[in-house]
Amino acid sequence: MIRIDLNDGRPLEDQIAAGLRHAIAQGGVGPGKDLPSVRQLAGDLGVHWNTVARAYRRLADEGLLTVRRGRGAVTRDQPRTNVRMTRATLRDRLAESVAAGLLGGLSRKDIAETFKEALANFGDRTRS
Amino acid sequence: MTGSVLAQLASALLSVATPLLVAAIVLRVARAHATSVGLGLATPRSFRGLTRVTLLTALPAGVAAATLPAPSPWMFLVGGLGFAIPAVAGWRVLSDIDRASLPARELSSSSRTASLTPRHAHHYLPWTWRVLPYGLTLGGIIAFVMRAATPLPHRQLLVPAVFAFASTMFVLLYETWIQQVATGPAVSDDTHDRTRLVRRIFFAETALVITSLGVAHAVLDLNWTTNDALAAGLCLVGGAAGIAGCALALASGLIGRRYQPVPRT
Repeated sequence: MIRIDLNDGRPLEDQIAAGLRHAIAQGGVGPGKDLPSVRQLAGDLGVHWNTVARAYRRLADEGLLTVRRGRGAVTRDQPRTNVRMTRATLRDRLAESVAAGLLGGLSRKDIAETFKEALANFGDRTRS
Repeated sequence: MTGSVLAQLASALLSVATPLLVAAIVLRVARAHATSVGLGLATPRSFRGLTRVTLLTALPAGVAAATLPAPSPWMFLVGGLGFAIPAVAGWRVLSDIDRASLPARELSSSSRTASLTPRHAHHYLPWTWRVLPYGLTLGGIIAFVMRAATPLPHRQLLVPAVFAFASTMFVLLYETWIQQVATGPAVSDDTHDRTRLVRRIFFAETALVITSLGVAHAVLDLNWTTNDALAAGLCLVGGAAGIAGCALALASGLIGRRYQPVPRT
């Protein structure tokens, strides 16, 4: 499932891309599986098809999907991503989240536990 | 009153009543859908206007059909005008039904979820079933062309050809509808049974194909001079089925639920 919220401040395209990343990372859409057509997903979410197409294209650029004209989008068996860059991005995002947590009054232990809980929701997709 | 005059009268009245019949079927379908989602749908006021226009048009059309010597070429004009006048009022009724049924079709919600599983028509109807209307139409039309190629002195080709052509139109219309139901928009809390709906559309499609091809073949070799009542009866059955088929296809956009479309960003 993918969820979007019209009241969320983020653009719809970002929300859809984030939802797809989440579903792929969590194992909701397995490797090599077909994704719904742009038309179907756009219709189901009530958004313009171009918004969904842009989100698909973005994930294809990130190496998570293969988009073939007329055949739809398929998740990659082995995502083609740069591990070093991914790690750097993750470190930056975590630092932002840790700072927000500390400023919000959470202890280091609370933050570590929250992180573990979030991680536990995802399957292992590490490369062999 | 001869069979030909009766046929003329029946065809004129059917032409006049077509917009009312279509509007009644569309209203029925839209109301059933609104009820299924817990809403009501009142009969639009314009529907009464359409009924009045239909009755007022039926009178001169009926008189003309009964008095013109049958078969009269003027019946094209009588039927055409008899359809066009109530159709203007019918158009307004359809647009009123469309507007009134919008709350039953569009869900206004800021939080939206969607499945990431692709949907295809073959998930709801095996492809072995889906080829049946295509096969029937193809076989029926080939047989029709072969039969029509053999000359017959009393043959009137126009009406049977129209019915044969109607079968291909129904296949195209209803296959599009099946595709639309299978892959079209869905809201996450939608409980309606897609498989059941797709199969009902398929059965309607098959019935319409069989009816139109059946009528086409039945009237192809019929002598309209000696069997005018039978020919008129068959054409009326085919015509009524055709009107119902078109009305159902027209109502296809009034069922199903989707989230209110977000303007393009």
